[in-house]
Amino acid sequence: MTASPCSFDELVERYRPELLAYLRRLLGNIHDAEDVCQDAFLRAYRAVDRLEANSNLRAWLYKVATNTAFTFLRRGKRASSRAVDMELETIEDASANSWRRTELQHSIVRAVSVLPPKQRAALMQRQFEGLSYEEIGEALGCTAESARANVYQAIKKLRAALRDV
Amino acid sequence: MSIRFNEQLIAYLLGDAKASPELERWLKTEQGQRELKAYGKALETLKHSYGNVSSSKSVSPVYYTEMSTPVGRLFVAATDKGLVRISFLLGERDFASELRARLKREVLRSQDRVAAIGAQLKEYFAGRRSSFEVSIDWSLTTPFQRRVLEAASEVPAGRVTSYGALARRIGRPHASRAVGNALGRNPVPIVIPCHRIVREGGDLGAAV
Repeated sequence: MTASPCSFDELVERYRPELLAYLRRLLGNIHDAEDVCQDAFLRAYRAVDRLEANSNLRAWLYKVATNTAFTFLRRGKRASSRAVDMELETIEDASANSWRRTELQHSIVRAVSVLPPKQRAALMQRQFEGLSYEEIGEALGCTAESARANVYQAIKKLRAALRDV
Repeated sequence: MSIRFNEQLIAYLLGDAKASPELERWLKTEQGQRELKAYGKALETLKHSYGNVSSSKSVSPVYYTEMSTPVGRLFVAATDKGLVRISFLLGERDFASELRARLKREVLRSQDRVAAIGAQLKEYFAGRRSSFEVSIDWSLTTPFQRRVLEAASEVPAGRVTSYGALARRIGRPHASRAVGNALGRNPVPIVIPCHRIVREGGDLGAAV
């Protein structure tokens, strides 16, 4: 996918839903995700003119969104002690979750919530957003190999979290 | 040794690489079986936990309740933004399905969530209240209709005004018919008193 001459509104309309879903996975709750998403598009709007022709627009938007989210996390706006509760609220679904599954979910969500942001971002981009390791590297400012290592590290930690279940 | 296989197992499960013959042999061992199952479960649970975020509910439901009043049964509904609908005319099923269709939200019956406005309505019908202190959710109105209704809500109790006067007040002096229509589709009668607006001749126009 390459940058093409289209209005910024079209860009927002096209990518906002998936970026919002990504940020929700990255930040664990919809309120922070909406704040960060709005901020990210503002940053993208200011920077879009400097984007080189033929750049990967989607990966670039993930980069802007991820950086905005990391800044948000560094500022400590999210109360980390409440993070797990908020996440569980996000994922809790009215549909009939068996008790067993809920217990597993708690373990996984807790493990995700303590992942370093970079690993968490890489994991979500790989498992849910369908980005290649090259694109993840672009979004995270690292090599494809490093992006892959971050994904694998995250998955090892999730597996370790199930040790007691 | 298993550390190396763990990397290979993840690559295999993510579809990054095919299983090597030695990984396949390891997966047949007791340890390999256990790790395959555990990694599979971790990835599956991750998917269950975070897979549906985009489609899951981000808007809160609409709550409504039923009240009996001296003028008959009414239904009243509120969202997290405020009062959204009052109706005397609709039955419960039509009331709820209209809200679901127009607001695209879950519609739930709950007396508690509508308690504040319910209490004010009770006081109104008991003659102990003439105006309301509630925030309104304007989702069911057009911008024009909202202006008309906000202007109508400024008409004090015991006073009446005309469609034409209201049209002039909102800066649309020739729109008295549109004002009448907007009042006729008032989603929150009583709380916004469209009965205080009358035709030029003085007879009652808009119905609730």
